[in-house]
Amino acid sequence: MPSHSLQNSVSFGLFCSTTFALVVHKVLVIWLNKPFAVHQLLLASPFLFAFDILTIILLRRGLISSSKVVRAIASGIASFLTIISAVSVSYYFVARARIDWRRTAEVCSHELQRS
Amino acid sequence: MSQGNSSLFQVLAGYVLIGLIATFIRFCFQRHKRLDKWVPREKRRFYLSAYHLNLVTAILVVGAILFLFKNPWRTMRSTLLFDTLSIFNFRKAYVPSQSVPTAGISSPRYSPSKDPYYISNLDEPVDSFIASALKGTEFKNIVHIMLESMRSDSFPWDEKGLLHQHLQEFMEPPQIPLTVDNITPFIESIASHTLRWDTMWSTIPYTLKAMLGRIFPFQRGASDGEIFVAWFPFQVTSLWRTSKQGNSINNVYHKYFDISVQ
Repeated sequence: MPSHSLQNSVSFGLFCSTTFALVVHKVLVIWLNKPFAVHQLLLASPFLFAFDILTIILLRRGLISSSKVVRAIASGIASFLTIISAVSVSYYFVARARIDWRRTAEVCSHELQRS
Repeated sequence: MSQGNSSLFQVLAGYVLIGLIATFIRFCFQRHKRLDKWVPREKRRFYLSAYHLNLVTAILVVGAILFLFKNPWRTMRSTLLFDTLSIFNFRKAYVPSQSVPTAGISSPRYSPSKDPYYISNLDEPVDSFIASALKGTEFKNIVHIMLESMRSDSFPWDEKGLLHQHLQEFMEPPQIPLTVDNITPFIESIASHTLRWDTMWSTIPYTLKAMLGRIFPFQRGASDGEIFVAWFPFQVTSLWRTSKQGNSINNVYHKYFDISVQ
């Protein structure tokens, strides 16, 4: 199996889903922070996606790794990111806002203390 | 989920569908070996070189750190993985800082003037529509009831609302029926004598801060001369502590609100 490609169909599908999920989430975040001047957005866009590209590269490295453990971890992270992105997008449909994950943890901790 | 009828699974199905479509397209290309027709193998190796990709990514990451350090660009550059992992660091993020208190207003040292999320309109005149509506009106007593962090269809309880439907569908049947008389009898009884707004928009991402524009009490800081707000429950707690120390209520009000009770 060549190391430069995702030959496994499941891994490739998961990789594409995660990539799409990350891009959708980032576009959503930019959309929620609008308006911006066109030139500002054009200049900043490559840098705005920098950490997403880094995440995608690391995920790809994990998914094509020869180690089963690394592949499993990468698959788990990819699935997690896809689900979390879906949560963010669905939350946007309802509330037209971005989820503050730290705030969700705060609310959950209060609920746990109460129970 | 309490927002009712979430579209989570539809969005998730969309993502899975994208993955399936991508896999199917690649399968078709591999079957017909069309990839080789596009670009010669030697050039393709050059274009897909991991070294160049890593180099470009490194430049972009460094550029993002160097150039996008101010909000809102800083929040926008963050990736989803980092956002979710920051859950484990939420306490640090929500402890109010003395220098730049951008966190919640659970501290009496919170100052809207130092909050980058807060845009004051105190220097602008009163909206002409509101000014004309209130012209010549004399108020004696005003009770402003605000239920924060709650859906509008639960105050008063809406028996046809999304929350009611969600509870009926997903929760166990309650001991008593979910009706207006059982859930919000008091507010329903005075509803015909009140003015109600269902379209109040928060201009900042914390509803507590959004209430700064409408709630008493504002007070002036003794040390730095800044106007800052104390969260109402905190002030009640302060009043309680001070009153237990034997001070009269007049002294307490004078100390905390700079007013005298007649």
